[in-house]
Amino acid sequence: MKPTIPLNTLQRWMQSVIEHPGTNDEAWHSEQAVQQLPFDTAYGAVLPSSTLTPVERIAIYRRMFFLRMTESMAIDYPAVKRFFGEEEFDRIVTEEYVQKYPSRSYTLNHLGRHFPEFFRESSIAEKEFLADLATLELSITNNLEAEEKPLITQQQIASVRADQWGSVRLIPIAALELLELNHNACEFLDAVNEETEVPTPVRKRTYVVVYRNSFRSYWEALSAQQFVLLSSLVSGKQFGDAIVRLAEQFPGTEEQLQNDLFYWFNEWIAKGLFSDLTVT
Amino acid sequence: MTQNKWNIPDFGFGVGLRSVHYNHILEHHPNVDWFEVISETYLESGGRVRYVLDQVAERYPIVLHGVSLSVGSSDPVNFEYLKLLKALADRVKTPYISDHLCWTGVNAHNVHDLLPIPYTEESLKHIVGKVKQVMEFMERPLVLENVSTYAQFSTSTMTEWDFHARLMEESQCGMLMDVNNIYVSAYNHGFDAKEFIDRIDPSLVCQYHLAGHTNKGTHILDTHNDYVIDAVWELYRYAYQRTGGRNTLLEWDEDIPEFDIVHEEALKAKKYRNETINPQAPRSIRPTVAPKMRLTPIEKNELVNSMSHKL
Repeated sequence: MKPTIPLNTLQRWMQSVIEHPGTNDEAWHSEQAVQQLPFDTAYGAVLPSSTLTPVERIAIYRRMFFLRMTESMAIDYPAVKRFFGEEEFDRIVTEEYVQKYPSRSYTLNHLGRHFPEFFRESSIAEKEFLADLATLELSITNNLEAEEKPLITQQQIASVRADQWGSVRLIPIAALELLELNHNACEFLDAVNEETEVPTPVRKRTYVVVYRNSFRSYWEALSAQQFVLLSSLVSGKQFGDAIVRLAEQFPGTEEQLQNDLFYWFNEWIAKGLFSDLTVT
Repeated sequence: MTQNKWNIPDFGFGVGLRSVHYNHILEHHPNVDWFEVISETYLESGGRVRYVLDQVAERYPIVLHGVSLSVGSSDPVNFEYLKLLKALADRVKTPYISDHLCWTGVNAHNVHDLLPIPYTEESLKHIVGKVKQVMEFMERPLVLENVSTYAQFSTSTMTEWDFHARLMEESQCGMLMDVNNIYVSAYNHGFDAKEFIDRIDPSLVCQYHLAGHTNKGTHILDTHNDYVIDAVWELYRYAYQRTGGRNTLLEWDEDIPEFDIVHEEALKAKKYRNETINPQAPRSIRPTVAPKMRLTPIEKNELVNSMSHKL
């Protein structure tokens, strides 16, 4: 007579062993595993092969699980990985992150979605910097998946009369995100990207735009004034209202404001940050 | 030779669409019969991968191959996932969808691996019910692939092939016969690969998979990182003689070489389709080929479809 173990029990047991971050012995004897199946029952439920014990056979799945988790996170978070180094990054991912935030999605693309909050909730010394860095890298990852939209054309811009510009609303592309960070995460990521020496993490108010053009994702730091204007436009404010808000905070002369406005606007159009406009 | 039950057309010799080949395919439009795509990569992405898929779908037949249906999980069917899958299936006009006879997680987790199921009456009843739900929702044939496994359960009351045969009979799903997976599991568990093939009704086989693997000595890993070994080609020839025209696809998911090399490997199947079986060929063949290395980056969902040789 074959032993009978309900499908759900066997699967909960096997999953708990696969996901356990410790040794094989620790995983098979963990509270979560033993809650489903006592060690002897579990050991008897997995057949040995001619060359491998039951523990060695399940260990193949355990190793593969952690390899997939670390590889997937490394693809999304190269700068965070650089901060920790490979060994510590892998340890944090396997022993802490996926234990707290196991994948619940059909795709590994979503595995890293909780990394910023994971750092915020952690006791790691540089947790605020790491939360910023992870926020920036997550934004870049998400940016690659955003819906592609046609860009605003020069004809559309040219069709707006001078007296209409105050009531123009610009529609941003879907693949655009504005970030306010409190540390030099952008400089750190730039250094990792350019394979140069990374800066020491420090507090630094930073404004970043992440956007996509021709299916490539870009990120760049903005000045505080650029951020004020661009965030106003992206949030749907009329062009005139956005300029008024900028002017309230602009440190230079009116002429400088006009020059900067002209330059920034043309640059953002050229970079493909907007997909459409409406005149109300 | 027999017609498949669903009259699914034989597109010929396909290749798995992989991100490292996007540029080559869009620039050169290689003369490939069809492409198989990993469904999860394209379900919600609106970026470049979606653009590439639309471009490819305009020129080539596309078949969706999933890795997260988890039909063997004791969890219920995930209809949110199916909604996305159905929308994608409509978009690329796939004639059928395929996934794996396995589970990928329970209690709403996903460990992103193709895990073995116990071959019991309880499992069969549960999976038959889920398969019927999936096919009814998807309004397309569902074709399930036999997976490479590294563990078996003492609680099983039937063989893998008998389980697969009964599942198809009772649920009316089809089979994606991965002859490399049969070879890998036969090696790992010590059964006869040809017995597996013999016990499957050829009219229920809708597609073949071929791939390379890595022999670790004590076991074989389904790494998809190399050329198909001769023994697997022989198995393909053996299986193909029973079924005749079926879509045949080469998978290469790690250390992916240039597209032309992958395509050339897929086209080797032509040779094996038309030759007769060598009566001297041993019934169970153990491989000795060492893997070749060619490192390239891979897309994350492509990680799921292979067992890393880095182990």
